[in-house]
Amino acid sequence: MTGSSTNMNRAMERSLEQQWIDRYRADHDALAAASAPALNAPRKAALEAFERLGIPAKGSGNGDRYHYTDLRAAFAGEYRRATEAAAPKGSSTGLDCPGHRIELSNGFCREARLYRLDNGVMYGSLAAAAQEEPQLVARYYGELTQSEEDAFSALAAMWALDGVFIYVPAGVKEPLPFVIESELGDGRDLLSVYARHLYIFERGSAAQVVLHHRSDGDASSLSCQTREVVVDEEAHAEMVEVYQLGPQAVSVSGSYVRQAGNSRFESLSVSLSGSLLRHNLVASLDGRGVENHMNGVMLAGGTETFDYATDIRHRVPDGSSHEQFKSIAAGDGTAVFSGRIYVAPDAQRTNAYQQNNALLLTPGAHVDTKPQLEIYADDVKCSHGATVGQLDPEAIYYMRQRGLSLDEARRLQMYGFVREVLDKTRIEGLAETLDRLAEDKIDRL
Amino acid sequence: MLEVKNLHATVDGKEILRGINFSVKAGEVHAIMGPNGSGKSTFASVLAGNERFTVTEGEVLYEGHDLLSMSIEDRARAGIFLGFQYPVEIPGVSMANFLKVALQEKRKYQGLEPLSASEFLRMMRDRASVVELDSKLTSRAVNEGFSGGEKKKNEIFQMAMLEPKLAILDETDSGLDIDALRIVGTGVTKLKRPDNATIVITHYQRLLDYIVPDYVHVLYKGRIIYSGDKDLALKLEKEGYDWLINQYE
Repeated sequence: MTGSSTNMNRAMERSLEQQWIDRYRADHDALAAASAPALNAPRKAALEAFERLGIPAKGSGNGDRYHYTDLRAAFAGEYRRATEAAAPKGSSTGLDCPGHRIELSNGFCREARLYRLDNGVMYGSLAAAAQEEPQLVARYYGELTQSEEDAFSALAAMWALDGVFIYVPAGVKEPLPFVIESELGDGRDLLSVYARHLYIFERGSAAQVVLHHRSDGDASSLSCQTREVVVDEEAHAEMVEVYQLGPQAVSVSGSYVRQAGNSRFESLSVSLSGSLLRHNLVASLDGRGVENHMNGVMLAGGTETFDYATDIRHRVPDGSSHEQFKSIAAGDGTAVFSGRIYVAPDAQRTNAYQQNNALLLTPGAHVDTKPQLEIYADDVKCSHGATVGQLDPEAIYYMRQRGLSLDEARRLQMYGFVREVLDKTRIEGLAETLDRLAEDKIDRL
Repeated sequence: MLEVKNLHATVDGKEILRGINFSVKAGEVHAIMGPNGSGKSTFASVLAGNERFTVTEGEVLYEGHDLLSMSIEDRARAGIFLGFQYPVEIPGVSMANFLKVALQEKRKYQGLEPLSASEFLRMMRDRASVVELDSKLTSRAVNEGFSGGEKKKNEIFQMAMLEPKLAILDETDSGLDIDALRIVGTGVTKLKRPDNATIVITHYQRLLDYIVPDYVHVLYKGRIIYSGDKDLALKLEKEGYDWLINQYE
């Protein structure tokens, strides 16, 4: 990720932040001209926030939310901005999952339109939605992203021109999942990609979303994306996300979920490949009787770094949250989990559970795990657990005694380790696909 | 089938087996009894190839081959089965998948064609009935959440699937209630054939009511100090080991 030597010298004279600010100022007019008012509205405040926050260094900033992973190095480089979708490729390497398909390339919907179903569901391009449904978009857009508290969320707000919009009206139980195939890269190095996504699940609705992030080739890229998910009262939403990025791809993403009373939200995020994948998963449990499930799997080999920071905010009584993250680190790979649980003073009878189990396969591999509990209510059930270990030699002996080779026994044990989490998805046929993708990656660890 | 000569083995530098001589022919059932700490489980583990133990002296011939130079999995594929005293839980690995891989590996080793999916399923159903194992358990993860009795039945179910030449059952009766004991005992007896053999390691005579041994051996301080027929087990049950130990020391 280096530019020419002149670029490097010039870059060295300015701070990293100043380079990004200058880049934004150069782009500002073009961005403003290309967007609907709703997308332009937060750009100025986001820029100011970015100027104030800066890109957090390892071990500092944002209340230690960026403690373990060095993101500054990933942001050093003369990045160019993606301005349109890349030319489509002939062959499809998407997930085999039937549903309403939405194709994104470098943060832009390939079809710049909003689809409308007979039941009132709308889905497609956020830019199109901002034109066609300005009031609906403006009502929710930017409410949850914290673009004034998080530098990467700010970057996404500053530059985003498009993303995915999904709207499921009150009472509608959409039978087919929304399947988003998101490609990164245009074949050349130092591409930066920004997008913002907005999903609105109204009262009593039900929906499933599958996201597949893929890189086109080995060129270096940097992606900053945020997603806002509004889950109204008694709505049920499930979201599964798979990252399958190339060896030079960096992704920083934020998922911001707000749940109203008696709603249920389940998410599963699977990091299969990429140079550096950082995920901020934030859920605000704003209504009584809310159920939140956040699950994840990291399979880090080579020099890959996968870093999940979750933040569950129990704001009112009678909510429950369940987090289960499993990681395997091999080679010189790194897997990080830091999980914050906040329980507000009057959020009585909260039930919060958090678990992170990691397998460390090689001396060069690295695992960090940090629970962070901030509990201000007194009638709370809150438990967390973390384990970092090796494969179980007893289980391997047992399997070999039945005729499996050492290698098979190790692999089967790793498959089983992550399958517990992958099989939580209820989207039809998806668990088998996830198992297969995870097994392919484990075989290459 | 099995010829053990002057077998010595250590764990963490401590000698547990101190010169075992022992042989098994096809069609035979041998019971190995003895007080706690006499080396019974170690003997079973060494035969299976458990890497925690180091063989320091002696040799073991299995069907004429040097067993001790074979890997754990090759011993298994060549027909040695160890019924574990404490069957291991393997989260996320289904019984069906585990047994499928195990069976195909064994068939490959023996130069046989792989079983088709339907043949395998039929075989699973069939063999589960030998030990009255709830067929729902075969779709669950290996031993996970199984009761003590289910785990032991599951060991015998795996034995029925893998059709070993030499089965070594390490305290399969421990922790079993009367019904489970009967099911496990009669299950093993149903699997008995003229071309296979069984070594039953046990503390108690009661399992031997179902699995009637041709020979009973007493292991003490890492050696077989006495061998007899099935009546020896009855005598040991009544009188304990002291009379033998006194005689030995």
